[in-house]
Amino acid sequence: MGTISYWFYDAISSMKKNLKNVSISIGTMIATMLVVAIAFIVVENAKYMINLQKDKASKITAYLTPDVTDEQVVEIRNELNKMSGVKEFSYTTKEEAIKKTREENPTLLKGYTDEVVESFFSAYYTITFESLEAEENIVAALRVMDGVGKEKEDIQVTDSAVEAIKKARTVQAIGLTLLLLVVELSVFLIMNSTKLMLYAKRKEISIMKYVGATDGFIKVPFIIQAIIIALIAALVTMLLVNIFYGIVAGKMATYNLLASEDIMFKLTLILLAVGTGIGIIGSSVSMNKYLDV
Amino acid sequence: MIRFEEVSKTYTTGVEAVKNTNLEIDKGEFVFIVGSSGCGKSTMIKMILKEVEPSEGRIYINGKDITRLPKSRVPYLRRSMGIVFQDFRLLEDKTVYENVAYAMRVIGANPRAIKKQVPNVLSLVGLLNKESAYPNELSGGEQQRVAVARAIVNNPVMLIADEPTGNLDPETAWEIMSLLNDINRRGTTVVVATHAKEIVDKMEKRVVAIDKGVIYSDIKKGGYVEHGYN
Repeated sequence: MGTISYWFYDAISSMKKNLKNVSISIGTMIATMLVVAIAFIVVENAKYMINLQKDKASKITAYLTPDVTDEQVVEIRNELNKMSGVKEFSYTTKEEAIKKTREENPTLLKGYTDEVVESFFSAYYTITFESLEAEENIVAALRVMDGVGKEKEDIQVTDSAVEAIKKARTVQAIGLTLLLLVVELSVFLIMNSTKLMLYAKRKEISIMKYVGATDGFIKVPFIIQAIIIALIAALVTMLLVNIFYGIVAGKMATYNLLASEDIMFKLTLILLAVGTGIGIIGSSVSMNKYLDV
Repeated sequence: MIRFEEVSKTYTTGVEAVKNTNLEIDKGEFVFIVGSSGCGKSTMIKMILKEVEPSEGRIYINGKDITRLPKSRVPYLRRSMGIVFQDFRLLEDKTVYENVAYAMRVIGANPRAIKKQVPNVLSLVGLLNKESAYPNELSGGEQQRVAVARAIVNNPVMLIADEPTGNLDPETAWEIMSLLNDINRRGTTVVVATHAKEIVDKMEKRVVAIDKGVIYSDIKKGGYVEHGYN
């Protein structure tokens, strides 16, 4: 048996002998991975929803006062040109607004005199913006501009994403915090169960040291074990997540959740990275104590 | 081969285990280090294995100052010596063959060499017929033979034994000591820390007597010296 096959043989036979500790490690790892998976799914879906909202063409419509002067219209245009966060804007005169409405809905204004119809409409600016922060700033600036209507409904934000995104961001933050806490907790738990396994092998380790084994040679089987445990745990977790995500996504169809296949590949990579990372760090750190012979 | 130059060891507890010791052991020698429990002989062995660092002085093995050896080189130092302990230190879940092969595996020996060398040393210690047995199926003497086989399987230039007969009856102890003597005759330097008076007397080898951390007698071909022994 060569050195590499010996390492695998040693890792697997030691896992068989320490089945109880190995099961505890796998269980801990699955629990950790499930929470990581849930947090990841929440964060990814929140991100997806934010993008979905951002993609909706949000725009601000600022209605001007009936007595707005041409100078004020020009002044507003100049202000908008200077304002940061403004993507583009257009000006619609009262006449164009009436014409547009008549074209879109020919019956709506029937029976009204031109005078009455004119009193219904005012000229307006339509502004599209670059970011959520810009939306709030632009609205605030428009409210104090001369010529812009001072009533609340004079400035309308269609498809406002602010609230939805704020909610999604809160969910995202909670998800990330949860993720950090759980990873920290599981490093601790994995370290403990590795310590138990190492305790069982402490005599063997000291003998290995006496016969001239390097620390690297001793560590490798433990690292192989950590990787095997991570692989098993990742597999089980992915199975569970696949089943439950399907059920949950089905029940929450109205929320526009990401499709399972959009999440699973990235999640598998993350779980493998988290699992092997936790395993390798946990076992290496707890080994140092026993290697000092 | 082994040289202690004004070596002292004081543990953090304040115990002075070895005091200002000078000792030289040449290649091919068989040396007993004798003294009562706690006299400092085990500390000397541990310092040779670099398990314990001297507080003062220098220790040279094969001309190299091991007190300056970095930690990462310690495994390579230990590969140049075989080690035998009082409590055998065998792996309970491995067969006799595996226990011996293990010492070759950890140094990365190739499988063919392991297959050839392990039966050779098992035959040398008279355990070829027990290669499939587990340690708990063997007598104390047989277990110590396995430990000796493991210690010499990599053909070390020296063999260090710390109370190798401490757990054995006199007859078996003598067998083990004869085995060590055979190994020495093949050219391996052997250093044995012991307080087995009868064996030391019978073997008529070099005897270094130590008490309270001080070497008080070093006789080229002698018996157990009890001067200063409490």
